[in-house]
Amino acid sequence: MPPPRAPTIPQFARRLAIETPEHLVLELELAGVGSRIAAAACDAVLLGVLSFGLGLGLAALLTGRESAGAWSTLVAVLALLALFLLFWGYFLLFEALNHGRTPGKRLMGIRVVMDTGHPITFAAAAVRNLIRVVDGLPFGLVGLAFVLFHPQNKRLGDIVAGTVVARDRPEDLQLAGVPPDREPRSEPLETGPPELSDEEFRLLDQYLERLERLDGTLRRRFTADLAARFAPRFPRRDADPEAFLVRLHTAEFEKRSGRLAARPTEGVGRTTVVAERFVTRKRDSW
Amino acid sequence: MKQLGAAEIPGFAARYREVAADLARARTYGVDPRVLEYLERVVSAGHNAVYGRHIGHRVHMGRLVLRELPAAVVAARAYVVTALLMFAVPAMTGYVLIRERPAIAEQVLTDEMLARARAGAEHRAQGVGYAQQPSMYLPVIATGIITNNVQVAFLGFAFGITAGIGTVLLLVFNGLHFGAVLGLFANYGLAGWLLTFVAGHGVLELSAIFIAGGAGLLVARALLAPGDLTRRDALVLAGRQAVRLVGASVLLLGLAGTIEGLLSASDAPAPFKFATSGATVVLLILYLASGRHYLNSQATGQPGEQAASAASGSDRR
Repeated sequence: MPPPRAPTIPQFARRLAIETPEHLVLELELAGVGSRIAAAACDAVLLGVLSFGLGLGLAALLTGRESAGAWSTLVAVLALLALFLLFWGYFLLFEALNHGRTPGKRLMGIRVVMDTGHPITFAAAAVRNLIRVVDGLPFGLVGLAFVLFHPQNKRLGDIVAGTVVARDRPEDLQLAGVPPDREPRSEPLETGPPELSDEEFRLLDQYLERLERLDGTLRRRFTADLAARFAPRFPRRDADPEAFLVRLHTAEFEKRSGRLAARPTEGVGRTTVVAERFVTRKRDSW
Repeated sequence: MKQLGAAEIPGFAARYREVAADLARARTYGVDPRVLEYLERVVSAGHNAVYGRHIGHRVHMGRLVLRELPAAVVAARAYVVTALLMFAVPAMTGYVLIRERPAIAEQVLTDEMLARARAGAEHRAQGVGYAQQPSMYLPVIATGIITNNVQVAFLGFAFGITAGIGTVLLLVFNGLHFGAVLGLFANYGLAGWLLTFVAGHGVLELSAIFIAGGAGLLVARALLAPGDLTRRDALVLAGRQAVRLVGASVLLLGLAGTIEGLLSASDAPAPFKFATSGATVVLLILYLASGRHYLNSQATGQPGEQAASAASGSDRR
């Protein structure tokens, strides 16, 4: 079990824990039933379109010539091979050669990886897709049942191949930059222990960070909501909700950096301060 | 990883380890989840780069086809032989049945087959072979046969997951049918004529079916009787081995289908077809011998490797 984390975002997806050789537990977020069905549907559509295109192309090739002869034989042979290859090879080749992503899966942001978190091997992709036949038997119900009830969302093909379908996370999440008004002051005003709980402080923190990107009614609404949430505790406050929140945040931050933050009150503890110092110190090297 | 120079790799590995340790510390301190997510992603990418197997990993095609595939077949020979029996026994039963009670043929076999048998006598008199086709269609027929048979082989393997029931049924019914057809033609005195057609490709095709059946049985056995391993691990290992058998089967079917389409359905003389049959038998023996040789030479290396990879896969549950 990984050590419990402070305020958690609710996790609706199942996760698979992998222990790396560094004795670190990484968690892969598994793709849910909906994503997989959607990806399969996209792939089916694409496959249909490709088959249709192939058929059209071949028909065009055939009608341009005389009926019998070496040419039409060649075309017929190619047609059979191409259709066969398309039908059986579509999933197999994409998964094996494109890092476990077929076009449908890529659209949904999921990918096939081995149980151990490694990229998928060719043999595993082959096994997985050959058993797809059994999974798809009565309109895909067998596979669906397995994905629903298996603890790691595996269908039969995944079980025999030793693979899972995991969610790709977006590549471009940047680490939040340090907002300019957070420079540590030499002498923080100590007005007492922090008054907001960890969760609330984080909420405030995230809100303020996003403030720039919000605009118009959304911004006003969020500001009003958040201010209303904290308002009862701070009777002496600014009239403008946004200014109130900014000042509250600054005050909280100073309190947490100060000496009194070490005293555990209402879930606020030393760890938060250590955490933030740690992050600020190391963020550049990441 | 490929882009790093040889000197830079240790530096990269060291940085990766440092970030991994940072992640562990960050978790203990309860750092903001978004930061944790970012770190996790960095560590995952690093993990894949350092430990993942690379897609561009050069697989030596020749060695794979000529040695590893037949080696897998030889290693699994018990299953292949079982599949053979599951085909042969119903085949003999079917043959005997139709010979003893010709009337049953009407109910068991398709009309087309019956019609072919009836027409067969005339064809033989004219010197026409069974299912002989004009030469221009032959390549198409060959391709059609190959794709059809390969799909049957795929099914034979895939149905292994149904605790082998599907595979067994596939083998038994195909065997019955084969025996029945042979019996039917024997009733008309055309057995030799049919065999002339079948000879060229028959050995390879039947072997391929047995191998594919063996693959399915491998998986079935892993499911039903995993032995010392967990069912999960046994299935994964069996799947890996079985897919090599399927590969061998596909190879043989490609060859058999080509022979069947181009040669068997042509008007080549019978001795030529039988000679081809003999050649395929020799080829098969040599192929399997190559596999056995490879297997023996790998006797210390391979089983250890497979067990190790299974163990590392199961430890992380």
